[in-house]
Amino acid sequence: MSIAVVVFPGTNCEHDVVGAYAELGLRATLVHHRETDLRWAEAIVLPGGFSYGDYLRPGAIARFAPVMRAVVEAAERGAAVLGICNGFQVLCEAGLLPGALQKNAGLRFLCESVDVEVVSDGSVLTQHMQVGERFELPINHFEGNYTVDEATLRLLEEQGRVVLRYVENPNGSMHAIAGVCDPTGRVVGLMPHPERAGGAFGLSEPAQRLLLGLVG
Amino acid sequence: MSSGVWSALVVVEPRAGIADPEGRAITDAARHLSLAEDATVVAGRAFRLRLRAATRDEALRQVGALAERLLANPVIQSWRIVELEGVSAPEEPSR
Repeated sequence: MSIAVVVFPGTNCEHDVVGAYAELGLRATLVHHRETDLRWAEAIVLPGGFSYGDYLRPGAIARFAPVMRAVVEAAERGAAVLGICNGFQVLCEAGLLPGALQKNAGLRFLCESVDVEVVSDGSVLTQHMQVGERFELPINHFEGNYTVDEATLRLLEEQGRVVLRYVENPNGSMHAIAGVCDPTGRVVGLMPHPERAGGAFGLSEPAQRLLLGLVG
Repeated sequence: MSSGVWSALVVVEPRAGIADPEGRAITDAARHLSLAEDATVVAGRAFRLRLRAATRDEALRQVGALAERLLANPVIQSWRIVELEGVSAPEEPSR
């Protein structure tokens, strides 16, 4: 299994992702934002951070990076694509996922552990999870307030494309949405950081299952 | 001015009905401070652009494309060109 981890200028969670997969016995390779060929990758992670300084809007400039054309091509041929936090924002700006991530209601940068609930097991990320299962994941964001028009929101709910929900809404996201996927279930974005879930004894068990979902 | 340098001001705002936590915080502050008791504030951003274009229509087209593709996220924001005027060409900066 070949996993690519995309690094934009300002990305800062790439080593957490590589480390998490190493803990699971899998090798993930860092890929520069000027790279144009991702045909070798079966799974692609867009990690968290502040791509291009979050200037303009988070993800607004990153989506024009050369590597994004390769990410779109990979998604079209069915590779699994996961955007975490800033990576989720990039996927939304790129139009691979619907909606946008606004400033948190309450205007506070949130850095804490929150409970999330699995809403759908129809995405690559949640395929090994039980619907209704609850567990803790860390969040670390200022712009995580998921916003989308009402018609799309209804569609996401009807099609089972809301994959994770916050148990207690920390940031004002519509329907407390923490993660969504595209119609194929193979492109997923979420604000919480599964790669940093756990503590001194390693990745938490639910976080392991999430990350392993991406690779089959 | 038929050809030359244009200066444009583009305003980007949250779409109606989209949550605007920043605008709400400023509204609350304005009321709290009794600066404007009944004011409602919407928080957006303004961008001053300077570009070369042969005609006003061409300048409008360029500014519009930039606003639509880059300056605003159409999912949550709308944009408007509030100013577009011909200006004298700036001097090249000395090196």
